[in-house]
Amino acid sequence: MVNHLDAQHLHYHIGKATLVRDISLQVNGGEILAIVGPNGAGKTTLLKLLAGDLYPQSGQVLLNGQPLHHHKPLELARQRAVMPQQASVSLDFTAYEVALMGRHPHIRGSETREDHRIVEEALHRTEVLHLREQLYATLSGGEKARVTLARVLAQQTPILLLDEPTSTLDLRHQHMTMQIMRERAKTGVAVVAVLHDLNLAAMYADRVGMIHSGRLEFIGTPDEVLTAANIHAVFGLAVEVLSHPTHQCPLIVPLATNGHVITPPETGASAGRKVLADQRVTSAPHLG
Amino acid sequence: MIRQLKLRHWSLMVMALSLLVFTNPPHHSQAQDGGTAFPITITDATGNEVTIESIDAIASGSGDVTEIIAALGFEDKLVGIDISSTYPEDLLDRIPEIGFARRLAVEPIAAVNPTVFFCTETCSPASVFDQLRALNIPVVIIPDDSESGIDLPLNKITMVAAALGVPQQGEALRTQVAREIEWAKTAVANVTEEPTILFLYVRGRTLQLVSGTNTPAYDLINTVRGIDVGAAAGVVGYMPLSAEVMLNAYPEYIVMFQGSVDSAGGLDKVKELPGVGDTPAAQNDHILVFDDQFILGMSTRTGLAALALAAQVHPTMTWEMDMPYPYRYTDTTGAEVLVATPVEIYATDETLLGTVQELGFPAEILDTPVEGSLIVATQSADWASWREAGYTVVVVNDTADIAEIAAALGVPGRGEALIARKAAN
Amino acid sequence: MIGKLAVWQATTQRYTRLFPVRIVFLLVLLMILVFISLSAVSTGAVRIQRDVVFKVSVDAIAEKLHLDYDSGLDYTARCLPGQSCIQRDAALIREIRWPRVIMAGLVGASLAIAGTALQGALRNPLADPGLIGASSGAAVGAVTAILLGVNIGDVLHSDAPALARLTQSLFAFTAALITTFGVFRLARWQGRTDSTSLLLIGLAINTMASAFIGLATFISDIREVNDIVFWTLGSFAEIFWRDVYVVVPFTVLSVVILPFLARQLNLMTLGEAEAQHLGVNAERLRMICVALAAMTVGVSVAFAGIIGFVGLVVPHLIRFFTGPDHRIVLPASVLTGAILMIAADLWARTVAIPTEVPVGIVTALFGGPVFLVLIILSRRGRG
Repeated sequence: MVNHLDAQHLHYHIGKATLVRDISLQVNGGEILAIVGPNGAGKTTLLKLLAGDLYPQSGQVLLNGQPLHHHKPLELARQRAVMPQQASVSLDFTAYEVALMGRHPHIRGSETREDHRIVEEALHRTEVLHLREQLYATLSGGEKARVTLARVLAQQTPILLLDEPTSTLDLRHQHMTMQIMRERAKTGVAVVAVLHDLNLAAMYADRVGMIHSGRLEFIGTPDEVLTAANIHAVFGLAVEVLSHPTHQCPLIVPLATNGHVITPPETGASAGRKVLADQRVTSAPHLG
Repeated sequence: MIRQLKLRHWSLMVMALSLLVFTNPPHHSQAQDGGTAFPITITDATGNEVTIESIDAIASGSGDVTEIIAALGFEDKLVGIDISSTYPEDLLDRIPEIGFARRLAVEPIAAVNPTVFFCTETCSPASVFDQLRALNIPVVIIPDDSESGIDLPLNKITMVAAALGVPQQGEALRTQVAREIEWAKTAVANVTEEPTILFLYVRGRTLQLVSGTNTPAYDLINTVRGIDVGAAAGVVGYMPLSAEVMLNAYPEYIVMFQGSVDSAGGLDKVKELPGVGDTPAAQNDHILVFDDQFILGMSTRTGLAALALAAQVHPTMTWEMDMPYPYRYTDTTGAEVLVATPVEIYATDETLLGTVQELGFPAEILDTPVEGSLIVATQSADWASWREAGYTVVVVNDTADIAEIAAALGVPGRGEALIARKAAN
Repeated sequence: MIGKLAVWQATTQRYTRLFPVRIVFLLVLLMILVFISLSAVSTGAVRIQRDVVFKVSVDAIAEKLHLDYDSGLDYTARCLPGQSCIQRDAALIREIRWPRVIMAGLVGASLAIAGTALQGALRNPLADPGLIGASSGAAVGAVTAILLGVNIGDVLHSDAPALARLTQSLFAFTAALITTFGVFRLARWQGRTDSTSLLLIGLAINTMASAFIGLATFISDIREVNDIVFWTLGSFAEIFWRDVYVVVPFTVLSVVILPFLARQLNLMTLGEAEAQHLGVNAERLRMICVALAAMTVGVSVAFAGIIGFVGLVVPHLIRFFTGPDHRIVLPASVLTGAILMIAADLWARTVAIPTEVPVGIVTALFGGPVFLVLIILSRRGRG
């Protein structure tokens, strides 16, 4: 298998603050793994460990069976693309130039016509082709995110790591982004996306990993993980999980409206740990 | 007050000295008079062998060297001088400037097409010398070390004269300057009290330095039997002025350049510098101001400078030398005038004043003369009433030439030198 | 006025993104460089006919390349006292002006390309060769040599002033490398170098260095102060061919290597992590850029003293016309840095004949206002 990411017992701390505790997970080509969890749970840190930005103090990440740091940066860049939460550019590059940077790992010498075609296609797919000549710095947050997404897509890697790709997008573009991910997954790409919107995760992800206080508390299909009990245990929010009227997936409806008390989350979320242990070993079923 | 004090002693000194100097004037003729034939090869102060093909176009990068070149009679061969070449006074009006001794650049020097370039060891940057050599312009470096002490001018003269091919004239000038220095030493030989003196250098608000050992000021102060309190305070070379340093030195006399006082914005501003106002020197108006090149140029006038300083810092000094004054002069009115130690010279008109100043005397237009002054008057001026009022008045013809005025002032030799210089131009 | 400039800038930038336009742009800069060099060689306190300047230069080149060419100038004509002559003019052009102009060009190019590379690699548009400690380190080295009175000449039993200068240059270069390395060592934490702390540490080092130099001017005598002023204000007045030969390899090294890193420098603008995601070894890229910058700037400062603003302003100036793509900015800053430095030196040595103004004063005099205008423009441009 060419695109296979295997995290083994990752542990990461800065000083006394432990950000990731003993997390193990695997992602295979063709699936979308959504990482969800409350603020400060360690989602981004986990993604950085998977991307190789950070080195775990113990444990390791294997890319196609090889530890991440055995790959050269350029080789790695052809294997996995990373979409950051926020992307700024320090000089006045245009949107097109920024997207073209995604081709860097593949360019020898100077860009070919093929490179330009790929970039234009990516910009078209993320619906920002009309902004191509604009300076990146002058774009709105959502436009920036879509240009960055186009850059990531132009990189054409078998593994995609996305850190909250939808957080600055409007509703339409949130779904556009997730649909693009589904398309990619269909072609055999492995996608790991940190998501805040549980419903987006429910609709598009093959598997969902729920993180709390640096621990991977639950991992499994959306149906298995996104239960009212789990969500209450991790997010401290009472929800009702319905069945989606048109899709075969759960629909999460918060109950924390006026009159309902938001209770603090159970520390350690010990209730869910058993589930976690049971489900970790199961491989993910595909949605559709 | 300070200015007057200065002038008074100054004129005394110059009057006295000029006679001595010019009774034995240096030869103003050149190589044909026993000089060496060109090309000349000499070893200069940096140990370089320099071959000089011709001295028809001389450039000097330092005021002290210019002074020696002019004194040896080669003034008319100078084609470029630096801005510190302030003596003889009118040189800078006539000869192109080539920069400043401490910030030389090659092109302005090359632009005057010199056949030889003179500078001292302290000229900078030294790489300009290399650049000039690359242009085949011989560079003669004149010594400017602190080891020679007060004899430094003598070494300079010897080197310049050798390079110009006139060692004998050099010897004469050397003897003359040496005698003046000796004279200054003799003058102070019997003083009982050694005054404390400090040299203060000021360049605007940014640079204020006091001097210590290894400086010309130290040598000069020692020569006149003063105590260099800068050196006594442990200053080696120059050190930034601070109130602590100044009060630690606590000088009775402060010696300054006229240029320093000007850049500070006047004597009042000097007294506002840290610590200066609290010194006995400032409180007794004993801040002595001299022309920069004259007092520390370490050149042909160093003996005079020492005497001028000595006269200022030893008010009770007794002169143990054969004074030329008083002298008797029969002027154009037939009166025999007894000229005795004049303290100030006044002239009755501008032309006359010009000549008196050209002869080297500090003088002023006749206005309200102080007692004991010497008044130089033309026949048409109202000399009689001044004479009646008790002043010493020497009367010259309305059309008096340099020779007559020089004779009236008791310095015929200096008159001859001035006439020769004017004829050369 | 400023609004119009901004519109005009947007237009030029659009065109300079096109490859053929870039080539033309570089060719125009090259022509300006040749023109300004020839003007600089033809101008100075010594007035020499332009055709004599050209003939002497061509003859010199022909002689070096063993070409059979003769301009017909009579180099054997006698030099009469007080008059200019071909022989001396030729020596002046060959031994004084050309090395000086070429050195100014090399140092300008070095500072500019170092500035561009550093601004890119450190992701900070205010990065300047001076800020990472290279310049002030070099000056501290030189001043130390002056204060200690060290001179290779003492070992070689030679009195040549050139050796004293060479000693100072050697100290300057070594100190530049040590300082830059030190700044980097301090900024490195947990295997990574943080650009902001790098610049802050550089700033702290600079403050210490200028304090040291200030102290040195106070405790040294007038003679030494002169030398120290030379180092802190910069000058090309004392350049010989031998100095040029030393600087050339360093400048060439930077000019040859850095354009190959242009695309990686572009990626660095996304941020270090993003650049790394795209296959750039950010840490190594930064090390290479900083090492090259330290070497070229160190050797420049060693021979010409500290010359500010060129490394900072030139990259901004180029980006103003061409946009931020390092593939055009790097070569264009090489040419522009050389052009501006030669022009600045020409002005410095002719504005106040018979004396020279330190060239560092000239660059600061013009660089400061230009920088301000560029900053205001770039702010307006963004709206």
